[in-house]
Amino acid sequence: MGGSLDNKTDPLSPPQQTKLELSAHQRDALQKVLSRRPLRPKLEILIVEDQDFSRKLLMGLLQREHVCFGARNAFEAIHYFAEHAPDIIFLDIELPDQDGHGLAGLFKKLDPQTYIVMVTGNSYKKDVEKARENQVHGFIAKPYSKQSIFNAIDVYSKSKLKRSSL
Amino acid sequence: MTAPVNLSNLREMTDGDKELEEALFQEFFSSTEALLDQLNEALNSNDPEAWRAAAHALKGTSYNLGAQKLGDYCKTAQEGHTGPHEEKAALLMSLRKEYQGVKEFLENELN
Repeated sequence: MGGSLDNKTDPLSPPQQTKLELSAHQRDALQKVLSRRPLRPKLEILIVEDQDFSRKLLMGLLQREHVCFGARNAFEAIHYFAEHAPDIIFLDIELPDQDGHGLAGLFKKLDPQTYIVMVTGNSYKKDVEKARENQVHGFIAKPYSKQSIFNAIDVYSKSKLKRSSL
Repeated sequence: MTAPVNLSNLREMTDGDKELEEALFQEFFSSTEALLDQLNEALNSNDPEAWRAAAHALKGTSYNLGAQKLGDYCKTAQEGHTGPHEEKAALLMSLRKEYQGVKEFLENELN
């Protein structure tokens, strides 16, 4: 299970700038899926990365053990977020239709439990600061390493275990 | 002479999955060729932001593949996006040349 939208069959292309909001339908969908999330047997992970190579590399690593969704832009990310309320989001900072930080802020506002790991090919101090302001849970620089990705998931799993034992 | 690509990190990520590896190589070829065209278009239309965005995208892809020198050229291109036309044109030539080396290396790996 998992997947990605195929632009060839998807009748909607992302707008030049995707608005940081959910439609009424998306808000309803999110509420429904949030109530079912504790019952999910596998982690659901959303990978938001516009470059096909990098997104497929990360999905290839993670979909052996988890349910994964790949989003190429903020428009698709918001769609998957509303439909699936992913446990973990690996979120690229630079997207074609939105700023990754803005998207992280939206996701945190709608679901404070969402565990977000920002991913970047740059190492700008301002990005780290903005990520902290958004209270994201991690920050990974490219190139990806199996260890850093698995560490992020491990930290999430441990924090989830701690929350459920309280 | 150093190989243009160090596949050790990629192979750790793919965990020896040859089919995934091949699919990723093919994806790299098509993505890079498209991004090199975008860089060329950005150069011809004097669009520094389009140049920066394409260089940034190719940089991430190159580093994730393990093509360090190609990634470094892209980093230089990204950081020099407001630089003179001649410099960017020369850099694009270097990028294309380096990509050819990377492509040949990966094609040998596939065979």
